[in-house]
Amino acid sequence: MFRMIVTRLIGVFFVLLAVSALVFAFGALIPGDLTSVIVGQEGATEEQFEAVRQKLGLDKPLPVQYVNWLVNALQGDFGTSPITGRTVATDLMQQIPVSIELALLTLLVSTVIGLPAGVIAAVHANKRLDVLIRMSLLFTFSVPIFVIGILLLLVGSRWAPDLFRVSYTPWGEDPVMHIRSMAMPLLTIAFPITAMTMQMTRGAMLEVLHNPYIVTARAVGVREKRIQYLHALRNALPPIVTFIGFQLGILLGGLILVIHAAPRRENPLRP
Amino acid sequence: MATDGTTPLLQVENLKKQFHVRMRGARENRLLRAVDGVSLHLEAGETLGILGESGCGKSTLARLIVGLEGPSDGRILIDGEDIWAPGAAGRARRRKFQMVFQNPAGSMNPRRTVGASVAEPLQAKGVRNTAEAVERMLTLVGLDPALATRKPHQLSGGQQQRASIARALIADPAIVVHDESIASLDISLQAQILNLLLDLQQDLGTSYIFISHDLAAVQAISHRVIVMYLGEVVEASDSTAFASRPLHPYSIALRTATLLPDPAHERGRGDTALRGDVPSPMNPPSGCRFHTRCPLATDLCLQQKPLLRDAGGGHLVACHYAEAETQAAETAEEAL
Amino acid sequence: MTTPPVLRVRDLTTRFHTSHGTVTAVDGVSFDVARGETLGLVGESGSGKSITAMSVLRLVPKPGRIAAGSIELNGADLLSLDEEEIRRRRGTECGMVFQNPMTALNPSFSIGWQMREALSAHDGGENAEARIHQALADVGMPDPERQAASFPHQMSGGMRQRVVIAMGMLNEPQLLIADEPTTALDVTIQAQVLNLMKTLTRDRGTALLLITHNMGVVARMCDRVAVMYAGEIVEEAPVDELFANSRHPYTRGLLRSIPNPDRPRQKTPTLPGSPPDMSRLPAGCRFRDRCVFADERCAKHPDLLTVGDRHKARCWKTQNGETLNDIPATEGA
Repeated sequence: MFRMIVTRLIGVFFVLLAVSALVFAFGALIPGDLTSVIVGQEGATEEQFEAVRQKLGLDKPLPVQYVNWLVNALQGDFGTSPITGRTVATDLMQQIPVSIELALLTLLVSTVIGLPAGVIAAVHANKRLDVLIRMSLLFTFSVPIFVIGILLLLVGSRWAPDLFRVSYTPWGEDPVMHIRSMAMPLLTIAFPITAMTMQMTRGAMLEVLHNPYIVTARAVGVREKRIQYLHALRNALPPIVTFIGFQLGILLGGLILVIHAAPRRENPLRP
Repeated sequence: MATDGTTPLLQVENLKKQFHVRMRGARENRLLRAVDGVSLHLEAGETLGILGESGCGKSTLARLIVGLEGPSDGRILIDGEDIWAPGAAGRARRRKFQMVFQNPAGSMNPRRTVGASVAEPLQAKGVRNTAEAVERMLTLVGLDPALATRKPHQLSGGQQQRASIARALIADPAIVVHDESIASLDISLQAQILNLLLDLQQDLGTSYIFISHDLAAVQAISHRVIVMYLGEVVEASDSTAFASRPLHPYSIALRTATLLPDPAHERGRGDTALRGDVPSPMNPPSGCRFHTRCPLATDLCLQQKPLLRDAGGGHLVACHYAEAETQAAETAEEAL
Repeated sequence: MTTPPVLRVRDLTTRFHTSHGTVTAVDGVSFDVARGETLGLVGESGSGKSITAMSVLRLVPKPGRIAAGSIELNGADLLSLDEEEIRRRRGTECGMVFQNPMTALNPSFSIGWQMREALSAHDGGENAEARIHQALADVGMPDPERQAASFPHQMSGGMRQRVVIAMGMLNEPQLLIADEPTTALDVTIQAQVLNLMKTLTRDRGTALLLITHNMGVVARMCDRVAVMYAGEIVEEAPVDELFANSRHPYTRGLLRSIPNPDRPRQKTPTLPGSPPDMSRLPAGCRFRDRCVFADERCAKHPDLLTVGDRHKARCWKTQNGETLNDIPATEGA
């Protein structure tokens, strides 16, 4: 077991290496380079252009650029954003705690709602309760996130303006405000994740509920609810847990970008 | 049947098949000796029954004989020639075998019609017009030829198995291997299929290898019987001798465990069941592999593996105490 | 005079409502099981024997529903009880042993845990460990403490079936229902498990309702037998009587379908045809199409009537006093 964890962690390192190289390479495919962003489109002379290029190290061959970046990155130096002026590391340090918190909260809410919803849906499969649960949650899943966001904003500003504060307030400043500020993004993202969790749980439970050992449990007199939430769910968990773990990764990665969301040619990878 | 010195149709010489198995959480691979030195032969037009329970390697043996898998050691010869000769020659020899599987529903493609599935071996041989052959074959196995247009799930279990038999026989193979082919059917259907196989053998002259855990079924159809335990042959004889006088303690145990439809007999029998579980094929007992459950086991059995020897009249048995057994077993039965 | 039967089933009817139509899997079945007695319920596929067994404890899988009849267990009609009342009787008054030991146990929990669930479902919490170890020892498990901590996948089929039997008997029910308990086991292990069941039920006076398709098992285990065909009981008799003097052509045919291991390479006389499509049953006697004795009388559906001492059969011929002479030489092929 321990060996497996260690092997997996080593694997993670190599995967990160490969991913960074790939992203770097794709970045290189974008036409033009960072120099024009920094220098501006007009009014720069060839020499000034070249000077900036050399300073940034963008004149060196691609593999060398990558190695430079990698060496710096491993030491914690991710470079400086030419647009915001701050180091990328500082930016990340600001954003990461928020992202993590949001991601974990989202998972918590979506699991707490989605898991029992899935169990109930499976137990009442194809009957009214199941159809109700599925239709409502999958509706939220089908609607694009930004539409939900806008809808929530509209509804929120009309009915509960205080509840939906858009700007972020750190925990240290004001805990209550902090929670309020998280509420909107949380709700926006949580709906579709809840729907998916519910769907996965329902599918896994349906399979498990057909198994003979469930009949055995009933035959010895175990109470029905206990059979559902303990005997059956325990066996349905593996695909659900995998799914939740997957969601965590996607949420963390996606949320950082969402928070950073501005259509800039940001390239934190270049030194 | 052929006692004039001609080569038997099928010869299996010291066949072995090993698998490397990695158990969950274990460090190294373990060696699973599924088939561990099996030799047998089969004459034309004859049925050889292979009797054994789970873990004895009979299914692996079936797949080896039919050529679905290659052996780790040993040879399989048909008409005196190795079925694993390279290239077209080997393939041609392997095509002389066909197999009927246990699960009638699962062994036919659910998306193709029954007729298409039955025609397949003939098409594989390159024959174009298969319709007539399919019709003839379906009638021969007792099915209405109109069923050829249906899908497998529209047929009953018994009908599906008849169709599987038709498919196995359509390309006129020399040998058909039945791997528990009637085990999943109702009793009345089992008897029907056994009767059918007997008739077909008489009409077509095909040889069968009939693998089963059901002693009564094996006896119903076989000329000769071999008994397998944990990858080895422990007894081999013709079926009449096996019926009247099984020699190996395991064969005797199988025989007593086969319940007869005779209440008085069954009541009077008492508890003669074999003790213990079947050992894991990955860790077979030392010496004679049956010694852990054998009522006659001694230290000799633990230390020295008995070889197959002739106990008289071609009746082979692998046991140190073969002749003594039948008497001991009879005494034990009477005492109860 | 005699004690009332542990189980009294009257006119049990269980139907399945599917999109293809309604199938009456069990059609007006009645039987008793007395204290300490073993009743065999014999039949092939489609006979309804398994659904009958499941119906007793109301465990029929959807879309099946018990449509009519009464099931009296220890005097109480199970069909009139609510969910909680029937749950209380499951395991305590009636235990079940199912067919496939490989799937009958929950793979995620130790068998000790599962057995404890069986106890705590009925507030049997105190002394659970000791009771569990004793139950495992009673079914012949070596080293009960270690076995209680192990998981199903660590055990062979025979051992798992012993665990299932232990769970079924744990709360000391008056009735045990075993649905093909040894069909999935090797023949030598089957013998062990059958012996175990016979000993346990005899020692504790437990009634046993044994469902099987194997006439050898019936001969070994049963006191009385009920033969089912197409959802009905077609013959019912004490075991010796049934084997020696069967009065229904189906029973007769079934007994003759068993190959004789002592006479190799003999054709087995057997029944022609196959069990009927339960969604399209013929009018009249349901066995008519396969019966070599059928005549015009069989166009009318026969009732199950007495034809001898505690012997009932559903056949016009034998009810009329006629005998089933040797079946003419048709061998189904």
